[in-house]
Amino acid sequence: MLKPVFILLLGVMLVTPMAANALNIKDYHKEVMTETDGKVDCAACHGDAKRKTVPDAATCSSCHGSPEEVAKLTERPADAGHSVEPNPHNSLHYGTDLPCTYCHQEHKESKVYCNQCHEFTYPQMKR
Amino acid sequence: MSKTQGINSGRRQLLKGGMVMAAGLGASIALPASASCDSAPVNFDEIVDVLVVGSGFAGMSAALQAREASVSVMVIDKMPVFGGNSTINGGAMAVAGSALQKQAGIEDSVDAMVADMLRAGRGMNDVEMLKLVCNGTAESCQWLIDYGVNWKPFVQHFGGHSVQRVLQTVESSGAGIIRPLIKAARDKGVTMKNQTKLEGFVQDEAGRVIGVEVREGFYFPNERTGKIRRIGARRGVIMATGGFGRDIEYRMMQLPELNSDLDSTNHAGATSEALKQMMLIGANPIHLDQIQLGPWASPDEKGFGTASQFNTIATYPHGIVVDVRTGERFFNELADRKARADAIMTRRDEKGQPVYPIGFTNAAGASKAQTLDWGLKYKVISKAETLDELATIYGMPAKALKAQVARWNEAVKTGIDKEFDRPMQEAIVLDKGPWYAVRMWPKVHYCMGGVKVNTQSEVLHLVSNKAIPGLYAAGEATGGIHGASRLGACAVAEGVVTGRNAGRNCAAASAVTLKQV
Repeated sequence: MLKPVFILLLGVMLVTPMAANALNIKDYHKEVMTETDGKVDCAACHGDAKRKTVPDAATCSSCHGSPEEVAKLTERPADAGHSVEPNPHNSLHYGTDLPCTYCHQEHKESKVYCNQCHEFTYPQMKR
Repeated sequence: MSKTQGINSGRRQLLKGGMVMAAGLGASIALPASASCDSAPVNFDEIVDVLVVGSGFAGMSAALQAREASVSVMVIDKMPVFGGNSTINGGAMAVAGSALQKQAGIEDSVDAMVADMLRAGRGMNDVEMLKLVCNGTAESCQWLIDYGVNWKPFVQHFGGHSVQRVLQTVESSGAGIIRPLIKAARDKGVTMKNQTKLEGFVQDEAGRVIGVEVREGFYFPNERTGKIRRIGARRGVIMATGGFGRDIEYRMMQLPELNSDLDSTNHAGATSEALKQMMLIGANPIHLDQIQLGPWASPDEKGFGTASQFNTIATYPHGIVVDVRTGERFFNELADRKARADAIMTRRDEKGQPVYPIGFTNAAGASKAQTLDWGLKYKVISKAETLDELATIYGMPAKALKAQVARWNEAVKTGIDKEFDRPMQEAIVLDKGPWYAVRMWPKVHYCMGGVKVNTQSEVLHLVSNKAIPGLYAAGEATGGIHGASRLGACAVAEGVVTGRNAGRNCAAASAVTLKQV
């Protein structure tokens, strides 16, 4: 009775480390998140936290700058009309409080948090 | 805290618990409410005087008011962002006796506002709390101005109010209140923690609430994310946790017809778990089946969207709403929300499917509608040069529509709406285009029900009807103030006034001595 369970466990143990590396990462992150041997460096974002833990947004800031700095990069021109979408990084409702990880997803398609209510397009956002 | 540390402290707690039981001690030992058979004394990871759960109007007002009394304050919110529904709402606050009313020569009083809310509430209201709210609006309006809130320079007439008494932020959003309050709170040293979800209360042996257990680093809506920590509250915990409009399972237990076919204006975090935690320690839930539908929403967009603002500021005061099949009006467009939502939801075909009514006004009627351009951009609002074109767009009978508009214009000229007895202060003659129109269908908007509180904002126990020591509640989390139907712009009034009331009373409560890890 125990035997199949053991085989299953062994299988899981063998597959698990490979599965971690098999997770997709975004093309534009490949260079900085891959070690010289071609393996993805999970700790670059996850640190020593257990797998599947969403990284702290401070990790993003160490390369991309503070939320305020990121917001400056996507500022709307002062005279922008309704054809220009709102600044995704400085919301009327939330300021710069929303952690990066609620829109930008590394291992699956990114999404726009605001679009739970809105219909913003943000064509330049890498999904 | 690392994993090993977690295990060690757990073991330590277990050993201590065993010793306490063996020694037969008990007095002044705190018990976690979720595990009352475990008599381990509670070590808190962090301790403050006043802990506020939720960061909408009620939560932020409570936090700032408490902080004004120089006690330490922490606000926690399970969401990644602060402000809950408040920061995505329309930013409209009913105020009895505002400076703007006086400027406009509008006579109003606290008694008139109470009477309007009692009428809409079908007499089910908690009158003491209702009076407390209405009585506090003018002073709270000034308090908000002092914290940097900017109101539009005119008063509006919302449905169910007997006079124009609604102020609105220049942003047309509750963000115009929430953002300044968050900034002030941070400047004054209030600790603001997002992604921190309430798991349960910690009570001492006498039943006093002395803290909470939370998941810190919670990633909504993934249930098991984050780390369990305990936060102590020497003076009390204020629950400003809102309603459960987006909790389809729980709202259907109250009202089965509010099923998943109905959208909601609420944010995704408007669920019932905080309410349930309060009930678990004895809070008295009242009016939970009184759930309001917003009668100004459109099925052509998600949530509150652009139509809701357009309808409250343009269509309802300055336009009319017609049945798409007949081109004719069928209700008083300035009735209270329940009357309007109920009327709209009678428009169904023989299979029971919705037949969306059309609300419209002209350019003059829509002149103050800030969301008009966005609504046009996202094709929620349609524009027509003539009534014939409007009829074509929606498939309405043009002749009947034009006859209805002519009848309406006669009513405006006489000042009396013989068809549906609508108040006519803001009505205008609709004699020229262009026309702006939306399809309408109500959405789940607000929970009138919640926990029963007294005028000190203390949560009352179901059995004793006495305050649960250390537990306060404010805003939508409480029940009874609005009775069967809340009037528009009265949630901001309620949130700010009762939040401040809770903050003031909790900050003044006696402090218990707690132990930090």
